[in-house]
Amino acid sequence: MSSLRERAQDARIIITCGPGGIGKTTSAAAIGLSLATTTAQRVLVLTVDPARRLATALNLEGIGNEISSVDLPDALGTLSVAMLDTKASWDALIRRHADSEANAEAILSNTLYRNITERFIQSHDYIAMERLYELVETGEFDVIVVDTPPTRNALDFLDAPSRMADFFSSRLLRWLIAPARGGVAALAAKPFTMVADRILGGAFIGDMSEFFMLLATMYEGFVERARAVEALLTLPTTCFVVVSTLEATPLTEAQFFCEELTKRHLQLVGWLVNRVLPLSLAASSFELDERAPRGITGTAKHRRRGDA
Amino acid sequence: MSGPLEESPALQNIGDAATRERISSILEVNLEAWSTVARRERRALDQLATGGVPITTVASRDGLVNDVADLVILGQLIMDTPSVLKSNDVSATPS
Ligand SMILES: Nc1ncnc2c1ncn2[C@@H]1O[C@H](COP(=O)(O)OP(=O)(O)OP(=O)(O)O)[C@@H](O)[C@H]1O
Ligand SMILES: [Mg+2]
Repeated sequence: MSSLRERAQDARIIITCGPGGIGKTTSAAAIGLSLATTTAQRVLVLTVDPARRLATALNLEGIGNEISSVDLPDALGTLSVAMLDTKASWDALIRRHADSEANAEAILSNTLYRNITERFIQSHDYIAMERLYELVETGEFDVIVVDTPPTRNALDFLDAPSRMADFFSSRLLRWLIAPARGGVAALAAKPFTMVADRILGGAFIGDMSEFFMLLATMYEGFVERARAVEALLTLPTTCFVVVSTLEATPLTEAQFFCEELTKRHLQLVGWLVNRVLPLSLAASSFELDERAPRGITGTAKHRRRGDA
Repeated sequence: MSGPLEESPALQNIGDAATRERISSILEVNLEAWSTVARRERRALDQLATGGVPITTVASRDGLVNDVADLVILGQLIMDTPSVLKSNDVSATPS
């Protein structure tokens, strides 16, 4: 049977995804290292929350959104690593889409914005995909291996771009910006703002309206961008590897994820089943294992029960 | 109870007969437990294989996944281990 290397041969993006805590980050780093050492490619690993020792091993400490390179003396290619810094990525996104420097600064210094970037609807998921798009655009890498954030729902990051586009086209947004914009919309929204004013305080509502209004000036750029990010995921050169262990709970979640990828016609190149026990152990204890030392072989026939 | 592991060459030079018997029975209990888990894993793999997506299996690396050299080895296992569609083929998996 083919190997993952063969099946992902044409991949420009390899995404490791799956349930939490089963080795997505570790696998992404390992795949990146393998590609960089054995092929003449410029490889980038985009990682999310790496364990401390892994970050140290990859030379990744406290560097925000910057890209650092890993020293690989005998490698055929090169390896760079970047960590996802949600806040820095949001700021960069705002600067890119704001129609003026002044608007960008207004948003960035808005108290609500500062609070909301951490909690903004699926901000983590969306920004991971957004950052990926940005890195692809630089043209500096032949392959990007992407680690995915631990999400409550493994599909969140897949849906994030379209949810973001929907949000910006939504009625909700129009209502939210109404008080700042004035006019008919403001009148229509009045009952809402009056209630909100009483509950939340005028300053908060003011901040919120300003924030969403400024955000609305970036509407087209945002939607366009979100659609482009979405399109990136569906390219035939974007490959998904579903990582799981064989424990029941993660496996069920991973299987569901697998079905969803298939449903969306995304390139699923394989399962990576991590941390399995040597399968020789599954043979009737050790009887069928040719590698077992003589003296053990054949002495455990009574253990055959349950052998599949 | 005299365990079959007692006859193992690996145990021949350890302690006296009573010690060997004790070690072998402990090992046997452990092996039995591990093989129960391994059989459960194998059934899960069989079930997974019915989905038709190629499966690459990687053994647990005893925590050896924290420096570049370890990760290179792990990466090679991930990328170059032949994938399986049935767990019967899994004997090809390096352990
Ligand atoms: N094959 C392996 N052998 C041994 N240890 C492993 C292996 N794969 C992963 N680990 C360890 O398991 C732990 C979890 O791995 P990792 O951080 O890669 O998971 P994750 O899926 O990215 O988690 P999260 O969903 O929280 O981001 C780490 O301590 C890692 O070192
Ligand atoms: Mg992780």
